[in-house]
Amino acid sequence: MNAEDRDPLLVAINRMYSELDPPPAGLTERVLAALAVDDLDLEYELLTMVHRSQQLAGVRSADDQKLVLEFTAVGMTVMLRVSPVDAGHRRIDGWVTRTADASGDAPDLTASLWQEQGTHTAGVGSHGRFEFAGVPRGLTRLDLLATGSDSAFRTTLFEI
Amino acid sequence: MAASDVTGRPGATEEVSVWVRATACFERWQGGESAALDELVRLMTPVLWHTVRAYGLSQAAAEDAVQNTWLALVRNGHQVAQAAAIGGWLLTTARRTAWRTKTSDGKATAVEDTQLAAGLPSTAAAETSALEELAGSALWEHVRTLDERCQRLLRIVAFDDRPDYAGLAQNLGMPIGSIGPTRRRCLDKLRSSLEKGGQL
Repeated sequence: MNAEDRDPLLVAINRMYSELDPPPAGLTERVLAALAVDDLDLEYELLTMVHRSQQLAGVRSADDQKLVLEFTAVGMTVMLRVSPVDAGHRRIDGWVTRTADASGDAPDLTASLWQEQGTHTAGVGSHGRFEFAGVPRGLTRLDLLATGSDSAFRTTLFEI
Repeated sequence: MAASDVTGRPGATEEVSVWVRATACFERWQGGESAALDELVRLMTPVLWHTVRAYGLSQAAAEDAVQNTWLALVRNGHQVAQAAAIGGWLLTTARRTAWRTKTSDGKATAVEDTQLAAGLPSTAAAETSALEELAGSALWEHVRTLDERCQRLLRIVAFDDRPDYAGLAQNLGMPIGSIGPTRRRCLDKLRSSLEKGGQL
């Protein structure tokens, strides 16, 4: 480190943020889990989460909350609405918006939901809608795969 | 900074810096030792966290940005030509992801800073004069009075001893040449606020 970087004030700022806003518990483990289940042979675009919100109105407990997630990549936006089915299961309604390519038509998509217990798949309808009626709670990742093409999109692991 | 010379950095002797350890892990991983990646993740994840949070991302978006940074490394790590550049590569990738998220979500929260402050115990730290003894919560009372750009810049440089000024300049919307002076000005402001508060 150079002299300016060793300013004790910066050292104190480092300590302050480490104390007041530490990484969430389990972040490192979730990163390692995401890397462990990443299959390197598939080429995909990363979908970045840009929004996550919990809808709290009128719910009795955290278990009843609806969750809205939004991811983007170049050429694609995905919204997910996650609603409780029962204590252990969630319903997911998804909407995909794509920027059409030059030819104006976009290939059919399949949504694939990865979870520790297994993988679920669902077709994406012509209006970009897809649904998973009842999937277990837990760490989840969504892949969107284009039929007959190599193009694929993938989210990070997220908790539902 | 002319002083950020990779080989001749003084002061890194008392403990092996996070950057040196990151380089060693990355070299071992490139050499085929897969456990070295886990070590690198454990070492650098907290640093990446503070970097993306400096951009005002929510907890969930910040976590996502950190995960994506690591996935990008696994996919594109071969682009890192020199192992010594791994720390900078990770931070630059994290900052770029954070910046993209920030600009595509107008709703990215500035709210959490207030929550952060509200959750703090109010401390009367007047008796402590040395920074080493200054409680984080007391320091925050002064840091939070700085403008957003100062807060962001100081958080970034507090965790990155060799920031990539070109990338930073772009993210912060400043000319490269003004980062060094701005950083000094922000530190001076904070120092004088602490002095006025009787904490220095």
